[in-house]
Amino acid sequence: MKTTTKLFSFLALAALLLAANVPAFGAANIVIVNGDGPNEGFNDPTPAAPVGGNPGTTVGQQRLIAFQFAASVWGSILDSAVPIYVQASFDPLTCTATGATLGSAGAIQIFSNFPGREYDNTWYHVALANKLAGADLAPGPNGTVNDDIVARFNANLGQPNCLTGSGFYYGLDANHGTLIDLVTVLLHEFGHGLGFANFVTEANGTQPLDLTDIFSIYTLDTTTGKHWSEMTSNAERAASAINSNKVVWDGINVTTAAPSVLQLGTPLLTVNAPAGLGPFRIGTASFGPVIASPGTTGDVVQALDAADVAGPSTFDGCSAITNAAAVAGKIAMVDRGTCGFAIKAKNVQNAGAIAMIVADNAPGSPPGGMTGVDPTITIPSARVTLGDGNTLKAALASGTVNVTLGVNLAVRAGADPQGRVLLNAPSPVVPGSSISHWDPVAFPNLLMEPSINSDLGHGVDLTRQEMIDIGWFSDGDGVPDGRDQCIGSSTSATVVVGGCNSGVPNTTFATGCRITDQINDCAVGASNHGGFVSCVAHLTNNLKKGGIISDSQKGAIQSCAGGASIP
Amino acid sequence: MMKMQKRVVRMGALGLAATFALGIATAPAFARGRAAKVPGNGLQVAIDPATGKIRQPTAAESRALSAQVATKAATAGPQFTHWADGTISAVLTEDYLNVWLVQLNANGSASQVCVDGANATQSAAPAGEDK
Repeated sequence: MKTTTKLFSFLALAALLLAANVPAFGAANIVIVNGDGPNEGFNDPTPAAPVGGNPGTTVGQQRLIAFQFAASVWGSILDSAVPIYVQASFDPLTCTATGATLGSAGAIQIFSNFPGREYDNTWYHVALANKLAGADLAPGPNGTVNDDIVARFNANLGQPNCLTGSGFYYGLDANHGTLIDLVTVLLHEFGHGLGFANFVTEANGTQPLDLTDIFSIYTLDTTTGKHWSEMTSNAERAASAINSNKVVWDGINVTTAAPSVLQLGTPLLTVNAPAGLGPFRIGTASFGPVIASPGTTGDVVQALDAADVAGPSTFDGCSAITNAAAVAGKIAMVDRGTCGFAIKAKNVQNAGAIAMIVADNAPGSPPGGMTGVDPTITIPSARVTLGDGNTLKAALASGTVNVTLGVNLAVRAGADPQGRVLLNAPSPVVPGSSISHWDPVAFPNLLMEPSINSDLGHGVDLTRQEMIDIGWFSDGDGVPDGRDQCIGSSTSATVVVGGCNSGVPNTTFATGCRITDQINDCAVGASNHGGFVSCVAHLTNNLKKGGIISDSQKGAIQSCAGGASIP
Repeated sequence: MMKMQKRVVRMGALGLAATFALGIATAPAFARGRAAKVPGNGLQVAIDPATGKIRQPTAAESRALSAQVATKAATAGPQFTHWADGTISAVLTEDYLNVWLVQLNANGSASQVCVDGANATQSAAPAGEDK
């Protein structure tokens, strides 16, 4: 029976895909609404040579093709029957020779309590709300607030008196050199507009109409154990927004996919002695060797130098180290400030230090990175927060402090020890950057980090799983997708096996899986028909024991399984 | 690509029940024509006069740029509408848009930081510190 075989193939494929929690079905039509007038923006007739796979021959054509390319990337991996309208334009935004407004983007409207939602009293980005409702909730003419996403970019970038010498790269191959890769920026911005953003004002924790949003549903503070949607005061959210390293995304699809995306190994400063301190998160340096495993271990010594014109403090490391005998063979600690990080590293290296710790000179977390160039530096360097630096100094006053600058190979870069992906929670808060991005410690770099890294291609990495968590592939089984272990369950009300309708109610379990999902698992795991039938018999016996189905219903399912051409 | 027909269907389904606004005295405009285009904030970048490379504007440069903005849409907050079927909607203000700041680090690499529209001109992106 070709039909049966085809059905099985579909079931097997579906089951495999479900096992991986990566729905492959669906697509979305993302329409770029050209908001520009004649001879401007997308209609700019200025001749341009095709570049990086962009075949446009005018500036306007290349802009539109880049927009359409970014839209097609998202459209190919989302699922919606409702077109998504991006209100796009290139306008002569404010700029000077040394600064410019580049552009902006975001959702135009938000909706709550609409038909088809997974959560009540929860704001959704309009494009996602439309998908879940199966209808355009904001119908009306294009070019108005009835579109779904707005994106405006600077038409004059790179021209005289407008960031002269710079400009957007319109190629589709990410080979942008020193220019700004428009496609990558668009992928990021569209991501925000499609659902990678909350609607909380992080500085004070307020929410529109005091309703939570779909992003906050999966934003978990691991210190309090509360999701942002469960927090009862604005102050709780504001405090969580700066709880560095302790705010994670806990949707099941992102967490499941994280091991296949994020690399094992998080840079840390581990305190070996005295006990009870650390580990501390560190900022890494662009100079010197990369901090790796097993790392550099040694006693910590505060390096001293002259308070002179190079640096006013005896702890800033800006001059030659005066206690070189004590520093030699040890890990030197200096304070941030006055001179470059690389200069400090070179000074302590000259004194014989085997590594450098820079203690921040102002509050804030997590510790930032350290840029600088000096190819002669051969020791590793790390930066710790002011608070962690003070902790180390206090310990030094009491005795020996032994630390390791290395990586924790048990923790993925960008995840917490439980494997949940970290959200950006810097202190002080950076509204719009805080929470609504992945933590920049993630490695490899991710599209939705607060900074676009030059090594990004044109993929959407874990952002797709975030989109799955928030409902872009909702199967309507009553279990929200971010908690659903079986997204894409059969919508059949009864259990159908190989075309045979058993008439047995297709029960949905708290996991989001249904009886048909379990039968699909049998199909995938069986090497022959007997194995499949045996698996279904075992499954239905357990369902009967659990009171899920009756004896006659068990028989009906087993009968269908026996008659099916599976595999 | 006109969506007018769909709008008629939608409003019919809703029965055009009473709509009202919270916080603002008017119901959502669902405005017509390009004049209603949503205003946007923007990415800001600067060119380092010494190197000619792109970098994030300093706070002073950012303030100066912002001062040049001729007009800026009112940011009184989202406008809310309650629909007959229980749906609530809101038209977002520019404060909720996402904005980029770009900085060229001392080593020549460019860092870009995404913030929100309400704070783009005040934000100091924590990237590219060399001392």
